[in-house]
Amino acid sequence: MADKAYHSLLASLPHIDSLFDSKQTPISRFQLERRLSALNFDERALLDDIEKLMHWDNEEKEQMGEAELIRHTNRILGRVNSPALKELINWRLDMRTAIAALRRKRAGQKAPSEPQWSFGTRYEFIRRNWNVPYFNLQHTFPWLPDIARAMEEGQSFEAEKILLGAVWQHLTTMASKQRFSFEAVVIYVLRWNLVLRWTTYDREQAIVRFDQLVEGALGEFASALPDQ
Amino acid sequence: MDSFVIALGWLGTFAPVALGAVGSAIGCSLAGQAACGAMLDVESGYGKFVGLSAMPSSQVIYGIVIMFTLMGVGVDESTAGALFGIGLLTGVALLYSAMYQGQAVSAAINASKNKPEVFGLSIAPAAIVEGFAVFAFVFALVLGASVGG
Repeated sequence: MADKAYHSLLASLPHIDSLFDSKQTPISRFQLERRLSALNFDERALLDDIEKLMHWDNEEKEQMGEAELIRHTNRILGRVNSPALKELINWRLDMRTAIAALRRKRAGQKAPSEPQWSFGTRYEFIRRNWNVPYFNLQHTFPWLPDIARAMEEGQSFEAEKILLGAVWQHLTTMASKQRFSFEAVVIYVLRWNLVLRWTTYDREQAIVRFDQLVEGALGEFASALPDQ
Repeated sequence: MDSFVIALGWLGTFAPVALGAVGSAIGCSLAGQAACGAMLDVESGYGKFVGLSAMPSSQVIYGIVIMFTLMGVGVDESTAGALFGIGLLTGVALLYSAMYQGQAVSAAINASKNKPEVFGLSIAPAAIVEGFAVFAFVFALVLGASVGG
């Protein structure tokens, strides 16, 4: 895409107001894909990779081993030329590493022995500060104590909400610095993904609740139902 | 050497039009692309976006007026240097003001598309940039009139 054609693409995308007040995504995925077709092949491929990398749960990633996942992440990072995007991806990976470390620590595990046990830029720092509260990252990641508390109390939904809010805040701050560029397109798509994630939570919860109610109503006959 | 000085004089005379045209083309292109994008996202009010996207075209008009003023002075050995300086620098000012005005207009279109009530206010940055182009235009005319006099 010619540099300046980002003006057309970004102006065609509807504004995303807020995360937690959103009832639905401002534009459907189908329409979003149509607008993103203005990007050239390389940009589209890179955007896809970044999107998959930043996405919370991705089947493809779950099938990879940790070492392969780290290599895969580094490969994608190697293709990113923009310092702003690199910083964003590393921030997000650091966030994931910090949460993973919190979970490991909570499960009573010791500091990882392998040097590159995770991705991002702070895995070594976390390893060295394993026994320090919040790995000495509470100033860099002010939301970390809140997440730790929510995890301690078993409030996984609250923890997820804090995480989403932190990512949203970071993306919003970055969006204010980026105007009509590939970085701005990536940030828009990532924000769109967050809204999608948040607006589908209720539906997911509703399905789980519905299953529980059905099982409760069927009682002992629930086991007679065919598996899906 | 004399012919080189004369050539510089002509370069300065035409620079405001040429550089103004380049700037206006870039500025209108940026703003026009934003207008086209915005039209995909709104149901009405297309006209104001298209009208706004033509804002950076004023620079080439200023350039034409300056060119005629400088031509009126006449290009000879005594005026060529002054015409070169005035014309070239005014052209550069018009070029950049049109390019950046295009970006300001793009931002205005994007903002007013999402929040129509800020339409008037969102044009203010582009209008301020226009003001700087007008400064360059007016003082080029003032200086041009004093050359050879």
